[in-house]
Amino acid sequence: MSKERKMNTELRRTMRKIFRNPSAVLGFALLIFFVIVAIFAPLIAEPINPMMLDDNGNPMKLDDPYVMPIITWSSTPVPPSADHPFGMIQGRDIFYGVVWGTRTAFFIGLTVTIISTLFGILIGSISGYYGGWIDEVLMRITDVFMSIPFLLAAMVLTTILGNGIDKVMIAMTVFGWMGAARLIRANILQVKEEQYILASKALGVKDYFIIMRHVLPNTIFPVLIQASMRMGSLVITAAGLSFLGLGAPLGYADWGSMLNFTRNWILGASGSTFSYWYAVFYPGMAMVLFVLAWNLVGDALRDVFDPRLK
Amino acid sequence: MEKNPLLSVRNLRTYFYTEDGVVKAVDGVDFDVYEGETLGIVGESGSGKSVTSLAILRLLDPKGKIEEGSEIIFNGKNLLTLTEDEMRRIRGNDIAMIFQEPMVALNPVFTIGDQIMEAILLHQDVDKKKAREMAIDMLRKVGIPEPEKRIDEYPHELSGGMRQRAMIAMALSCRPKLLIADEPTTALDVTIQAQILELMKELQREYGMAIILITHDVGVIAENADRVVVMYGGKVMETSDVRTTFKTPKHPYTWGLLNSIPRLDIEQERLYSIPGMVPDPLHFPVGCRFSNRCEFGEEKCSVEMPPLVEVESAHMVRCFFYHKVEQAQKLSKAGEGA
Amino acid sequence: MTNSKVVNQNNTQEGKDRKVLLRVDNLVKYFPIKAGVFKRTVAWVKAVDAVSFDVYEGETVGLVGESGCGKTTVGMTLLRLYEPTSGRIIVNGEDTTHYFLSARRAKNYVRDTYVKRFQKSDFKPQDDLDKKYYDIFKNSGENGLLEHMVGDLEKKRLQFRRNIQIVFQDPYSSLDPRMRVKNILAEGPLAHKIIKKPQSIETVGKALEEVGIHSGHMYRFPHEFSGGQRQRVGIARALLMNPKLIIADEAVAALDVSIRSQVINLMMDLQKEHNLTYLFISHDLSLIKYISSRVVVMYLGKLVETAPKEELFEAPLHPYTKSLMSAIPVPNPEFKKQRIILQGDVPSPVNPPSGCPFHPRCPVAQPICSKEVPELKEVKSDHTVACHFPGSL
Repeated sequence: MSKERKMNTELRRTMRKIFRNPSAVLGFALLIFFVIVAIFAPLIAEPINPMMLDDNGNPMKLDDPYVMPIITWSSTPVPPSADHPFGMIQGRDIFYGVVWGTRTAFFIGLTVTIISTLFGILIGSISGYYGGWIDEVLMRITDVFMSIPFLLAAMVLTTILGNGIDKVMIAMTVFGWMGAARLIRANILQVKEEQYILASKALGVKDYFIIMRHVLPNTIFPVLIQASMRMGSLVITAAGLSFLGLGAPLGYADWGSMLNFTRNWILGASGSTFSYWYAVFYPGMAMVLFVLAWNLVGDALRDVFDPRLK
Repeated sequence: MEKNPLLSVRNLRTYFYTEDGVVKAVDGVDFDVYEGETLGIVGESGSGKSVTSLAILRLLDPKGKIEEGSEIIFNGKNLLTLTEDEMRRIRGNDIAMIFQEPMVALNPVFTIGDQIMEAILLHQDVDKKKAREMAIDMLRKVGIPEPEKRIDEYPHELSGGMRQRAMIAMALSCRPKLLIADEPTTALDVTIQAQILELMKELQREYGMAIILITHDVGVIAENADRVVVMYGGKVMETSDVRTTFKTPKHPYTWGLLNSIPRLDIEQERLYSIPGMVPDPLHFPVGCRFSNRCEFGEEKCSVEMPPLVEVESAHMVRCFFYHKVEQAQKLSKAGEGA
Repeated sequence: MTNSKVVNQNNTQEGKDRKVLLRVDNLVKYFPIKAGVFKRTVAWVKAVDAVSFDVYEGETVGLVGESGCGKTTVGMTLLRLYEPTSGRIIVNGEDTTHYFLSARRAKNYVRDTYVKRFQKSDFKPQDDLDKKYYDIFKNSGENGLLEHMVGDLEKKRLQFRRNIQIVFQDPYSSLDPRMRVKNILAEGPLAHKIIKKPQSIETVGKALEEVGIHSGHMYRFPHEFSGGQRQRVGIARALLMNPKLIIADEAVAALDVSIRSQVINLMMDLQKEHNLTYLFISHDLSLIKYISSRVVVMYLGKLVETAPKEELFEAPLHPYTKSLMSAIPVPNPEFKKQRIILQGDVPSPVNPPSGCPFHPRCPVAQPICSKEVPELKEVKSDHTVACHFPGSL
């Protein structure tokens, strides 16, 4: 009974600690906002094509809501209006792209982060816990992966596998697990020598319990925190690849591909240099805020989940 | 005849402004250091002894601030009014410092020789060749074997004791008038500690410099200092010449400390224990800083800060009830005799 | 092997009334230094080199020496956090050296150490342990002895863990920062099924009160305690296993001076109450003098001198012991002591000097000291020293 109460006060103290820090509040607020946008995307930006009507005369439903419909034949970007609050570019509604792009961002970020982090944890913990030649071999492989410049590797891989979001994600996973592996290995090596591990051994506690109770809780949090911070940067990387034309196909609801559209429209005609500002601003802003949200959340988690930092 | 002190610290207050509040690390400290003497400052963690030494050289980190009204007078000049440039000329040249962990103070990417020569070239008007000769000479003086060879070695190639010697060589290369040694032997083994302390004594005799020896080890103070300052909670609790304080401590903290450590010189039935914990500098008790751990205290102590008063010639104590300690000391002495 | 045997036998005869709780017999621990791509062993750190001593029930033995002398390795090896390279660790009259080996290697150990000798026709028991095991061997053969020594190894291991516990030096690294003190303390007793989960609050509370911490604090995390309190928690953790022997490795060195005596006094009180035996490992000779009844001095992996406390401090025989004593600062400006300042540094245990390991720094070394390793001799009753010229400094 009293134990549960203790737990609750601890939880409450943790929450208080998070919400005392304004930047953490901002981070969580932004993240919740993005989650809501992603979940309610079909309501916020209906996946229909107003240019095509079905048999009943209603706008047709899109087969794939992630492919932005072409809704105007204007070749130059169209400035924001009541119907298209973020304006249009390449015939597509920027608002629609930004909203559905949120889903793409979460999809890319979560999938790549989870898979690459799990793989990294596996490799890193085998390496750190068993040591010896296993460690040696795994770490040299890690080194090889780290020594290849990421962009180059991603480009080579996408040329082999072909373009597409999934291919980009494969490239990012294959070349994205090394950080987690190294981090958890270093943490395990350090924790293995801690006196509380020795003390547990001296108490006769079984290895399995030592790993589950002492080694993992003391090594996994930095990795998870690092992963949450990587979420944001992964989206930037994916956008970079899309910008280079390696990622999402033309017209895909992805912030990076939308920025790709703006390549020719970054500067307006002479005399009105920033006339197409909306083409860069809205997708770019979405991306910046998304990255910021994850970074702030990562920082907040680090402050809270490391009792050593008070 | 009154001697003029080489260094006078007056009402030194050093506060750290942290997120959690103001840490009054040093809160009104006064002491003098005379030419050629060794002043020992003894205290535990949080007593403010190290902050005091850093404040003298104005080497505090940006969060720490020396408050208005503090004075650090060295050779007649108030160091706190000097410009950063003037201060730099004093550091290393007139006042040098050695630290507990020489590995931190020595730059790992330069050879020992480079670092000593840098200090010499900075403060003295000599050419590089002469500076190197002087550096080798200095290394020989601090007892490093084969100084011609060792001068080109990097700090990590030396043992802990040798590193501490190299740091002493660096500190003394410009013949400072005052050497501040902050826990210079804490990281060393006792047999190496004995070597280093002996070396410092020899060099002091030769150069006639004054030393401020800061340590938590009352034994080191007893064997190496002429006068002692006992610090607790950012305040000076007791100060006198070494013999007086160690023979007839008058502050409850000093008395407790001396009775709570295992000693080689006497037989001890049971060690005295100072109750409670070392105070957190964020939450010092009201009144006397030692009041919550003191067994001699009365109500007054947790209300009012006792002043530092001269109870005998040159023996200052910050305690309202020091005569109680005198009696306790007499009793325990009598007990020992019996 | 031979010289220490002599010493041990004498001790046993001397202390017939006292029970040997722990006998360390010729303990050796070398660590490999590996280098290169294939991690070949290029050299050995001779951390502990043929160390023997006895610990009697209820006493406190002080193990003293400077950094690198191997004192911590002795403690860790006794606890079997390191496996010994060779030598025997005898607890409560049973050889426990093989307890943490695999069953196959444990059997091999018993065969190599005992069975092979027992099978010889001219075998004579060398000590009590030999006699005991030889009786079993005679009555029930090799299998009987194997059953006695290797049977139910898991149970023997747990028993061993209960018997010997440790208190570490660093109060900041010896408690898991992510666990509440209650769980830290309950871990051992639960693992050994000494208590059941519902009892743990009561048991932990009692243990905390015993070391002077309010039992209501059991839900706190380690970082909410001061250094002295954390060390008390560490002591409570050891105590909860109801051990016979506690190894205290520099247990107060990291604490503030005014806190040290609190913890020392607590440990001495607990010793009386629970009839504990301590092996107190420290670099601080003054502390050793205060707390221990017998002292073992180590230098560079070797035992150099061992004697009852009074004897050692009044008449140290090894030049190293004497120098160490003179190097300890005494907080009494009027205390006159012999000043011996040793020259040079402690040599590396990878390449220890030939002959007596202390000879390069010894003020009274003779030519023989660099050639022959001095044997550990019992010069007076219960006072042994490894020096060619004991008492000459």
